[in-house]
Amino acid sequence: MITAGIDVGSATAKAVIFLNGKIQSHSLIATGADSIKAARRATDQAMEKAAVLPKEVDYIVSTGYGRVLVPFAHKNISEISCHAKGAVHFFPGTRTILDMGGQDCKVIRCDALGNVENFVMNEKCAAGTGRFMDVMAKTLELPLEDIGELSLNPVGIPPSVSSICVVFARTEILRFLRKGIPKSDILAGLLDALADRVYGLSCRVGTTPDFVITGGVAKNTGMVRRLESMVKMTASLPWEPQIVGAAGAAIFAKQILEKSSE
Amino acid sequence: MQQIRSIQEMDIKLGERFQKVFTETWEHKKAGGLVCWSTSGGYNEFLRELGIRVVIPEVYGMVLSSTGMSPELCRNTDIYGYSPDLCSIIRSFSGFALSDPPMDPSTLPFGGFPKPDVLFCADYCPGLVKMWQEFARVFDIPMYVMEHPWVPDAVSADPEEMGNKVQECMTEFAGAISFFENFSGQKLAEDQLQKIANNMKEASVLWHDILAMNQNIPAPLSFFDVANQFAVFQFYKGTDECVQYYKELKAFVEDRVANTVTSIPEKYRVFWFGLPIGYRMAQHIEKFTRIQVQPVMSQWACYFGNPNMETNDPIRGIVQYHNLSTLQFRGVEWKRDYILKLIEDYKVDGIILEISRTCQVINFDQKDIAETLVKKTGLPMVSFEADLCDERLYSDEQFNNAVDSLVEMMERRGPGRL
Repeated sequence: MITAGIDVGSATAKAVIFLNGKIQSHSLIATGADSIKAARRATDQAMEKAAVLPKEVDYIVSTGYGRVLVPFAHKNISEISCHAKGAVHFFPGTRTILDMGGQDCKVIRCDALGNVENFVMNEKCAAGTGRFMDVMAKTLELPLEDIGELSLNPVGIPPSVSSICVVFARTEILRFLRKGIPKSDILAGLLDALADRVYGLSCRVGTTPDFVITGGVAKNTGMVRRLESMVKMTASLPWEPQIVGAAGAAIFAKQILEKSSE
Repeated sequence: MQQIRSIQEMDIKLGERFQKVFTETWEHKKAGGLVCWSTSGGYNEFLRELGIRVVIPEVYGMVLSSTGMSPELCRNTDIYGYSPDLCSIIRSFSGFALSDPPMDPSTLPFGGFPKPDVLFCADYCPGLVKMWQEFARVFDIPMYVMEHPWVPDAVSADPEEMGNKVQECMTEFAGAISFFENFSGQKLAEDQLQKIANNMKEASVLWHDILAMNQNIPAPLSFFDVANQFAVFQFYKGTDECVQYYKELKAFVEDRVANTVTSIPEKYRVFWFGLPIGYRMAQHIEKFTRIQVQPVMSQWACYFGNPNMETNDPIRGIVQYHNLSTLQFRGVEWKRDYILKLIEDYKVDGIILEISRTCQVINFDQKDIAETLVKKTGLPMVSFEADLCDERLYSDEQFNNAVDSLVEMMERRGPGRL
């Protein structure tokens, strides 16, 4: 049985091909302005890597903000359910998932089967999301992948970042730069403020081990370390944190097929 | 009695009632009559008998939200220098109330309403009290603030203490009557107040019965229909017209129950813990219809359904009516038990929590109550953040995500109504 999961997020489109209970291949591309094209390309890439033809894929589930736009999906399921399902596949002991994606941030509590028990999402605000990190990295003229590590090694006392609004935080960063504060210190202050905000969100549903962080921001070690220290537990990080939702979608596809053949 | 045949017809009747209120208020003002702007928390029912027409700007704020005018008007209030963190309903109607030069009424829903001669404020919302003070200053007119006591849980549980609170309110209410008698130069006759109380009780019983019919499976009305129809109370409470309106509505709903007609196909029933989002109501109805999920009740809809009101002493009866049915005046445990009972009575499969970002009244205990509801009922619950009038604080994606997730949780759980 071959199934596919496609997660069309605001920043990236991800596809996973699932074969005999395992992830056979995955792809990850920028969504851009055309979600349908991005979904198609991501799926084609994943199928190509798995050496699978479209007609061989038995069932496709789409998820993510663009889930309803995928014309070739058999069903769409919310990314809340897919992230829970996917996280339990990566780490069977998962009970709490913190997903920090391109445009939103959510904390999900689930049972041993990956069924959602409760969840909260951030409000209409970019704080703690990939988009926020992206803007800050550009403002500091640093590669996105470097900012987490840099934030863990401040030279002096990190400045207090009072605003987590993306526009005002950017203004504040520019002011710190003008004052000659090292970039590592600015990043430390910024990530302290962001982690605090995300931690507040996680308190609303409670953090029970195992605690898994997914989404692009899970690649930011500075953010991960801060959150681990706040929730007082080590986070499990999938080998590719951005495909957890797509993997969950592919697992749902498999379960739907199995149920229909019963 | 006129027979209502459809939801559309019901909504048309509602629109006609609204238009009548605003048209009559303008005519009254043009003829030299007095106009009062009042908060929606009640106690203003007697003003009509003193020749004072009542306008309730909060209700109009919801109208502005539904017609898509709120963003522009909220922006106006921001421009006048008020904080964008203030209640968006207040910002919405203040956007034209404080406009200088005044906005052209013909550009407003139902033709807007005239400036006040006097203000009446029941103090259940700190933001409203401050804005009413602001109106009093800007328009240089008198204001009466009815100080309503808060009723903590310990008082709710003690009949003697509760009696003292009712007595406190009666003194305040009598003070309000006296203030407006002096202002209008007219005297309120005892039989006039008695008639108001009788009408309030009769409409209240009718409303209670209408809401109770939503306990049927399927429910004859969605929460959105209920939220719309509830508005007639705001302008007509205490009148014969109000009683007549709800008699017709009750007959219509009875007919729907008898013929198993529902507004939204009902695969799942949910409790809407919060207020309706006026500017997205049409889209929400479309979505819920598509996914066959019917929000059947909300705690706010029950405000004026208080069949236990006494009418022997009209002042006591009116105080009981408002005091007993207004959640803002009550402690957390009382509110929680009240909502829990609704959830049980209306046999729902899940809960949708709407968090109004700029509402100072609801936000404080909403989360605690919501968590307890989930613990006590075991029902799945999702939340979304929004605001009643400020669209900037609402995201369609987040709403859809939350509701879709709730459906998935309800599907997995299977039939499990309380």
